[in-house]
Amino acid sequence: MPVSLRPCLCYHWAPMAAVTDEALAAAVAAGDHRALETVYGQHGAAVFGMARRVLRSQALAEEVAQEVFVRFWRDPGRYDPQRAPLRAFLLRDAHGRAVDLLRAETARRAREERDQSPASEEAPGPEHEVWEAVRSAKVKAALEGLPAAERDAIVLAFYAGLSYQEVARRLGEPEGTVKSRIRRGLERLRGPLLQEGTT
Amino acid sequence: MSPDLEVESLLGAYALDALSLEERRRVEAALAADPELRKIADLLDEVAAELAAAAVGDADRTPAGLWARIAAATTPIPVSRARGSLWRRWLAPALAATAVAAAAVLAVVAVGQHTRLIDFEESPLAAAAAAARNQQGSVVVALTGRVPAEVILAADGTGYLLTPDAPALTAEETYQLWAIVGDRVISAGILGPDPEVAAFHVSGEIAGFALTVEVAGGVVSSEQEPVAVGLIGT
Repeated sequence: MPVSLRPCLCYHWAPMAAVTDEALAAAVAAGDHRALETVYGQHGAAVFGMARRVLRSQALAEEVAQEVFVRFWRDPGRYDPQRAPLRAFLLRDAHGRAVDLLRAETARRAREERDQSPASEEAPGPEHEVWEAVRSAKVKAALEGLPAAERDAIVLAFYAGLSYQEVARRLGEPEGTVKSRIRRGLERLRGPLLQEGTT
Repeated sequence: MSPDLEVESLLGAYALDALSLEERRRVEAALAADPELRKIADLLDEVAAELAAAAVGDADRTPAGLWARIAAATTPIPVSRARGSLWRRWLAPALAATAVAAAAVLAVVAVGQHTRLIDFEESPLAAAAAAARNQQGSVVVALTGRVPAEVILAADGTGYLLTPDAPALTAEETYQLWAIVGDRVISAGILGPDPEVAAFHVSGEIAGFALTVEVAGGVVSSEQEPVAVGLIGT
């Protein structure tokens, strides 16, 4: 697909608001490096911010952000413009990679701590800190509208990067119950989050 | 609980990246084979995307130097300069085949020739691969070497790697698939230590595939000798 891209001889991105996500992805698929630079310019800060919220580490978040854009460059076909905006796709990818890295780091630290002390426990931080990751007032309001048990399960799973099994242990609930609460909670959030526009 | 119901019950946690690796693989295999399940997952994904967007603040800035590192990692490097002698040896036939339009088909095998040990009824991803095998325009590429494998590449660029005989690697290692596209080698997927069946997507003029063993997480540019290589005739 032909895409008109402004020449750029530097590392600063050239704003091209008129170029659609689909055209940008097609240009990236065709090997146009300037298109990737534009995608980074539009979404790099958000991708990095997402990773930093989950990982609470600048260095690890940079690692994730780099991986997200390199993966997009190498395999742009993973993105389907019919299913989601490019920003949503990149943020979801960043979240997934951040969670993977968080679990690997947690496991590594737990191993190291076990070597030094018998009492080590994986702990992502208190709930109120996790809750602070939610920057959007609209999403915060939507989450507050959920039953507390569903909200806690979703917030711990998504913003603290816990598996549903870890959430269950943390909340002292059966795994199946937590799984169901996550599912029900997400279905309830569709209304307030998607029918009135996006954040 | 039937397999479908069990997978469906995992979709909420899947949308939040809250599954174990094994569960995630199971769900993704089911999604690749079941469009109805995919629709449900997409609806939940939309909500998760909103939650993700909510974690981004106006004050977020990209760190200095990050783009430079991404640019360095994504600047295409010609095979002849990028790879060590092992890769050049493996890829020379591919590049020659690309240059000579009438080159013979080197390793494309007829449908159904590969001996499969994969349970196609139990694995939805394998079922999707089997369906792709019979689609018009698909090519089947035998990768030969220490770890025999097979790639089924559909006309839309969706590919499936079948490695029924591949030995499982340690948790610190991963299989990585590479596509030879024109005069470049690009990563087609980081497949984990014991993939058996994996899906990927590639675009462009594909000359062939190579499989390597890398450190967990994969690499940008491999220095390992491929454990299997297969070329597509032009």
